[in-house]
Amino acid sequence: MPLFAARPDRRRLLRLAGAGVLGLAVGVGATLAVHGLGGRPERAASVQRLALPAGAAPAASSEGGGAVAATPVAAGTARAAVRRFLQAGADGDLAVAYGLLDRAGRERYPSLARFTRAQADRSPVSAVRVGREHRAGGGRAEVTVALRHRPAIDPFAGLVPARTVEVWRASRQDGRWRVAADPVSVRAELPGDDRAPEAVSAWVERLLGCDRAGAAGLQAGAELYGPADLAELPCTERGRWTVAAPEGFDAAVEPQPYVAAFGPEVGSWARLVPVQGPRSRFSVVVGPLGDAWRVLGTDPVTPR
Amino acid sequence: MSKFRKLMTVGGLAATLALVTVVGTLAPSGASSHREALQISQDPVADNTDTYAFVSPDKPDTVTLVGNWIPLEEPAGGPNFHNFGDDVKYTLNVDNDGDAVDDIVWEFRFTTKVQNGNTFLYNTGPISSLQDPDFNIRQTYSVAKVEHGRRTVLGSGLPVPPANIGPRSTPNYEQLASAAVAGLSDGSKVFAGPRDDPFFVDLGSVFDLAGLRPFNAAHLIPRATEAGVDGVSGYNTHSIVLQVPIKQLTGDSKALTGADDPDAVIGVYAASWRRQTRSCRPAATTR
Repeated sequence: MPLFAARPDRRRLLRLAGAGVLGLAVGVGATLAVHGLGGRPERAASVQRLALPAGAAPAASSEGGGAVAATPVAAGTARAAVRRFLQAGADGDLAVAYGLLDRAGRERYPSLARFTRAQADRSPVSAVRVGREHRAGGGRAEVTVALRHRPAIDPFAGLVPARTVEVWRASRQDGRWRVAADPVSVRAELPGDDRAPEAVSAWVERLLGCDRAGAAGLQAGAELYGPADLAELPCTERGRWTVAAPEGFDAAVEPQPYVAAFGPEVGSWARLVPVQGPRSRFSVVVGPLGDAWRVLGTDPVTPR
Repeated sequence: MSKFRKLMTVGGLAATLALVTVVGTLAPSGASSHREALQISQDPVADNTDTYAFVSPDKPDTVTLVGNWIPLEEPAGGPNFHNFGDDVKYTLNVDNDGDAVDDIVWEFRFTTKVQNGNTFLYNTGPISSLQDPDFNIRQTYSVAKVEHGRRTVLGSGLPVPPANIGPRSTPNYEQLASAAVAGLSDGSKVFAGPRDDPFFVDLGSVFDLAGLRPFNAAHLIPRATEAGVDGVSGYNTHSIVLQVPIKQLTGDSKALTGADDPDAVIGVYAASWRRQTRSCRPAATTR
C-alpha cells in the first residue's frame, strides 16, 4: 500500500490554482456588487415591500414608530416620572413610557417596537401607588412603589403575584427625570405558608368524592404537573386522609416537571404539602395565586 | 481525463469557491437546521428544522404557519417515542411592518404526563382516542399570543396526538391525529404533533463532500450520475401548525384588499427558547 500519493503534474496544479483564483475573484466581486465597498450595511428590514404591478409599493417603514419613540416625556420629579412611566405601561400607552426611558434603557431598547416586545415578559400592572422617594445623589433617586397585578401562574409568565413592592430608579438626564427600564428590586407579597394546608384539604376533599371538576376549581390551572396517577388516589383509596404542614419546594422528590414549566425560581414560591391516606402518601405542590394557595400538581414521596 | 471532464472539474471548483465566498460574506442569518448547526445538533428537541407560511388552500382568508422541530425522527423509535421538550418554549413569530422586530408571537409550552407511573411503556394497549387510558405517556400544551406588549393565553391543556406506533397500538391513526386539531379563543386553529417531514434534501449526497447526484460527473471526485434521493423521506418531525385569519396578521387588523395591499407581505420565522439558568456557589463557611 503506497504511503504517498503520486505527485500531480505541474500543469494540473496550475489549472486548479487558476480555477481557485477565478472562483475567489467571482465570489468577492459578487459580494462587492451586492454590498458595495462601504463596509457592513445597516441592518436591512426583514420584509421588503414588493413592487407589484397593481399599485405603488410604499417605502419600508422605519423601525417601530421611531418618530413616536423619539418624543421625550417631561416629568417634574422622580416620583412623577416613575408614576407616569408605570401608569402608562398599565394603560398600554407604551409610547409615553418609552418617552420616559433613561439613556441606558434607550440603548437597550433602541426603538419603541423593541421596548414594546419586551413588555410582554413583565408582569402586567393593574394599579400603581407611588411611595417615598430616596435621593441617591448625582441626580438620581430611588422610588418605592406598590403595584397590583392580575395574579397568574402559567408556563409563559411563571408566577405573577397579586402585589409587589418595587424600587425604581429615576435619573435627571437632559434636563428632565427619566426612568430605568428595570426595577432595582422586586418583593412579592405572598399568602402565608400556614394557609397552604387548608387549600390542599379542600382539594383532597373534592377528590375523595371523585369530584374532579370541583377539584379543578381549586387548582392553578386545568392541568396538573407531576405523576397523574397520584391525584387519582383519594378517589380510589377510601378512608381517612390527613394533610401535614407545608415544606419548602427543595424537599421535592421529582422537581423536574415544575422546573421545566416554571424555571428554577419555582423553588422560591412553591410549597409541598404532604398528604397521607390509608395506604398511600404523596405530596401536593401548591403555588400562590393571589391571596390563596392553589394546587399545581403532585410529587411522590420516593423516586419512581 | 477527457477535456470535457477537465473543464467541468476546473469550472466546478471555480463555481464552488465563488459560491462559498459569496455565502460566507453575507450578513448573519437564522437558518433551518436538520442537524446542520453545531450547537443545536446536540439539542434536537429545540432544533427548528423548517418554517413554512402560506395562504391556506382550504381557507383562503387564513394563513397557515408551520414550524417543525426535532429532525430525522425514526417513526418506530420506541419505546421512548419523540416528544416536544417540556423545558423549551417554541415560538412562531410574525413581523408585519418590515422593521425586523416581532409584532405578533405565538408561544407554545408542552407538558408531559405519565398516566401510570408503574410502567415506562408509551402505551399499554391500543390507543383508540386521545383520552384512552392506554395512552400512557401524553403531552398537552398551552398557546399564548404576544401582541402590543401583552401576552394572552389562547388555550391550554390541548392534546398532542401519539406517535404512529403501528396498526395494533394506533389502528386509526389519522382519526387520532385529526382529533388533535383544536380551536383557540381568538378563532385560530392549532395542531401540534408528529408528522412526516415534508422537506426534500439529499442529505446523503450533500454531506458527502458537497455532492449532488444529478451532477455527480462534475464533482472533483466524479461518480455516475443518479437521481436525487430525499434523505428525510420516511422520517418524522414534530410540527406546530397554526391557521390564523389574515386580518389578525396585518398591522391594521383589516382584511387585505388584494396581493398589492401594503399589508400583504409579512415576515415569518420560528424559534426555540430555553430558560437561562444561573448557578450560585453558596458562600464559603469556616469553622
